[in-house]
Amino acid sequence: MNFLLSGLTSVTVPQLIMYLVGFLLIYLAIKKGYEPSLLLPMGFGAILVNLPLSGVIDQTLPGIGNTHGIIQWLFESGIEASEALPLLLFIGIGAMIDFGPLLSNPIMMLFGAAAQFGIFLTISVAVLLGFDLRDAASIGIIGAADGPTSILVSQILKSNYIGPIAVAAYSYMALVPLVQPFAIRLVTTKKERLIRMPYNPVSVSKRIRIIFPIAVTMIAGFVAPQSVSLVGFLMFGNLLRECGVLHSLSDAAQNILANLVTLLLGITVSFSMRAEAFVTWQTLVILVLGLVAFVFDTIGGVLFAKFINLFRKNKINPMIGAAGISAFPMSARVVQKMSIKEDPTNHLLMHAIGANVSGQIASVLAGGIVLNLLTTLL
Amino acid sequence: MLDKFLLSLGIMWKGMFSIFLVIIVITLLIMGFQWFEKNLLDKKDE
Repeated sequence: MNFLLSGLTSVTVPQLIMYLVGFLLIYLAIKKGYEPSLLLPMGFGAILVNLPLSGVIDQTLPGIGNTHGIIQWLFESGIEASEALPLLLFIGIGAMIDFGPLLSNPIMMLFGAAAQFGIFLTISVAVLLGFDLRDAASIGIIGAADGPTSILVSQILKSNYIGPIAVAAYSYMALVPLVQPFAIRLVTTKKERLIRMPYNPVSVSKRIRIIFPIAVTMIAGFVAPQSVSLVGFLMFGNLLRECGVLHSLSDAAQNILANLVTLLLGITVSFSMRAEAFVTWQTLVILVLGLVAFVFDTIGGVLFAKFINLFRKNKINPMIGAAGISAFPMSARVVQKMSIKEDPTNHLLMHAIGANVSGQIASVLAGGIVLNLLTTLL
Repeated sequence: MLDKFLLSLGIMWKGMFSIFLVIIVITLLIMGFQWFEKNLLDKKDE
């Protein structure tokens, strides 16, 4: 009967820890509603890949030899070899985003840029903590607040910490409503949070909506060629949406493609959550650094808004700067919620959404620029 | 360690500069096109 118990008796302590991590992710997904479409597959996958001699990863079995596992195959072909899964997800994300609020108030673009500060600060902090520059850059990209970008960059840079980075990126995206208000209050006064901003939307023509994704791709491509796959797929999805002649493809990208890839991406990333790779002290440090990145992204955006206010007659509510991170639409909702808490008649949602969609562009751009700089400097 | 830290600071300023550069170019392009559309194309249509 020993063969029936061999699996149970060969469980290691790190694997038990990973079961707890898996249960925690499933709990957060179901009970708390934190990014359930990704945390649930990742949580289940964390259990799946950590079962002793798990059939979902390649094994060498006595008397049989090598066997192939589906999750390892998905990881090697869908992420490691081609980065196809995170990139395909960008088509869906691009098709979902309406850049209208941004195009009617283009100045909001700047907040997307400013709110990437946390990425670069975290890279420096990670280097100071002893991480290799490639790993530090991958950890910094958690601050892009964009799971697929984090996975893609850490994979291209061949980081050893893809699992913890993915978990941190998705967890903090879900925790934006808790993290951002704290960071915003840290650097704003009540008077600043009460600043009112009238919303005078300018109508955006179809012509501009079509030109926008093409222009963004070309400009980003000229400055940071490594960003083309990220920005290009995002903008391709958006072009499908805005062109007006591909409704069925746009719908497919927004729903079928995005759902299918999300489903596979979550469980595929769990390959990097094997106990031997995940249960290390570096994982805890990465989780803390992820938080640092999110906090300083927010602070960067807010301080930039305050800086711009030095030169403007019509002041910008600095909280808008915080919406420049990519976590869409949570970040815009946080700003709106905070503004109506301070003054129930002060609605900042549309301004915040403009900054928030700008953050989507700036975060993928940041990912490409980090790749570009590392390939140039290393 | 110090070399790597200085390198990371280099990545910081070059990275932020590049992002702002791209974003400012895109912003100016959109504003320019909106101006062009409002002042030339729309008037021509009228």
